[in-house]
Amino acid sequence: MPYFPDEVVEHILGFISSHRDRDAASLVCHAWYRIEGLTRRSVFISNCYAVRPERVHARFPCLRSLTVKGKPRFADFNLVPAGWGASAEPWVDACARACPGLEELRLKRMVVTDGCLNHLAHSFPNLRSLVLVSCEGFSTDGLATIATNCRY
Amino acid sequence: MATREAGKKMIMLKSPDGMEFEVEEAVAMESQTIRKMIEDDCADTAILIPNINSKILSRVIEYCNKHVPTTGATGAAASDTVAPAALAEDLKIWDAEFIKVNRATRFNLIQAASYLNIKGLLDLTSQTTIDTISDNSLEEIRSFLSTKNDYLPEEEQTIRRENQWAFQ
Repeated sequence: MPYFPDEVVEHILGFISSHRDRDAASLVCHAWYRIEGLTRRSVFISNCYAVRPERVHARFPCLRSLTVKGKPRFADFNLVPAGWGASAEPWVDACARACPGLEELRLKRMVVTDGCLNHLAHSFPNLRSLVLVSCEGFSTDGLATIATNCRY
Repeated sequence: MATREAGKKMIMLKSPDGMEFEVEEAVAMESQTIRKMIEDDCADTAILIPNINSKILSRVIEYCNKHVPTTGATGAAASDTVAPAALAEDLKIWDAEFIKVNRATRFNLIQAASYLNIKGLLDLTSQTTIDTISDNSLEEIRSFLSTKNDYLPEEEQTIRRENQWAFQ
């Protein structure tokens, strides 16, 4: 029976860029799951309550780019009550602990406080890109700490 | 035995089933593994290539022969007569023909490319594998890769659910 050493699987997985295909690859067997998890650099979470942040870091310890979506789309039309949640804090905390090498963080429809931005600014020395889309809860003070503390 | 013929250094490669292949040093050095051996002066006598039978080894040598002028260290020889773009196009067509082999052969080629560390061949075979499996169901992929499904049903279900909800 031909088998592939880990490096070869890693090499083969390097040709798969689509997350859906990588998800499929993770279902092949334990070895593929492990190697796929170790080599995935970019992770997209479509709902911040679908999975615990710690779980993401356990499965993808080498991730460099994280996208998290918070509130549902109808929040744009004021249909989500105030205080619904979708706080970015647990995600930033978990990242700061598990993944200080993070380079890109994209948050959509989440509550990002100034404290959270401050934490973020001091936790990720390699952060190159922070994208906040339809996020709320922060002021220019929070953005100022990012501008002061992030190198890139 | 390394001998000299027409000014070119020849390297002898031996497969475990006893066949011997004499190739130019430049061709053999397409393999980073062999290159290291040559550079470390471990290639005075024939190099035994374990795990790779003569059928696969001859295909690998065929590949290296074809690819040596463009990726060779000298580099100048390639651009003399044909434009580099046309040459690359030519190689692509040749590669496409080369990789039209059955599954078992391709598997062996991947293993050989990995062991011998020939990046171009590894890229080619890996990409082809991905292209072949990309439209198949999970069961087909497993059977194609001859990989055993070592998941418990509930484990697979958990990952499936996690993938579906969280990691789109």
